[in-house]
Amino acid sequence: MATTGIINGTLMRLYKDSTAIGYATSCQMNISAAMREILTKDSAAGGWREVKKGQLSGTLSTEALYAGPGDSSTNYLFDDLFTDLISGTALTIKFTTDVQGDNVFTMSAICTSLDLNAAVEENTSYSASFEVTGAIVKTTKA
Amino acid sequence: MKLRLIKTWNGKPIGATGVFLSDFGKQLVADGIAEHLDDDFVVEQMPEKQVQEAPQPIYIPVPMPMDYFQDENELEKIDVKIDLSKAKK
Repeated sequence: MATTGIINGTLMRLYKDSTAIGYATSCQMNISAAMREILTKDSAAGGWREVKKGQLSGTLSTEALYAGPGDSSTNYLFDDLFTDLISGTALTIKFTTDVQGDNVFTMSAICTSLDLNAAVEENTSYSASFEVTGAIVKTTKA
Repeated sequence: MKLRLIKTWNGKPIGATGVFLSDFGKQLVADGIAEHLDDDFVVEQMPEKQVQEAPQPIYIPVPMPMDYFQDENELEKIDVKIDLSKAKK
């Protein structure tokens, strides 16, 4: 049954294939449409800018706590993303609550940046950014 | 869904836990690779910042001779006289 009301952000997770990106503290998906200007001398808009939809694009980002190879989690961790960034592998990413009836956003994305932060007496954390290649497909969890 | 591996999977050792999409997780359970964990099981133990407590002072009793205390009661009788009539330079 689909989640009712406002969805708790804790439930929305990024999954690489079917494995959650581990120790995440926040996840973001951005979808945007570039605009192309169509104003010409023949336009009747009185000098006002006119646009139509151009390229669609998407980005993903996540912030997470850092765990090294000593961690026993099966989740997808920084080391895995590091390998993916170096190789330029396009990953199949799903952004979902994994609750029946809820939305599942599926896309192919390439990891474009990893920022590892280590401050004294603070948790070591990192942020990862992804560029979506191709379409973002919205389906409903069966 | 939260799973614990009961067989080595994808280079991860037996006993490792993780969060999987339910369709995939059910398949792992059906294949005998993992077991389903209770929803309340905490897979990801987030590290907590250690609170550094201020060290407590240690009082070491120092033996003193009795005559050190003989004028203790006299301290209250000290008469402090401040002459406010003199102007500061």
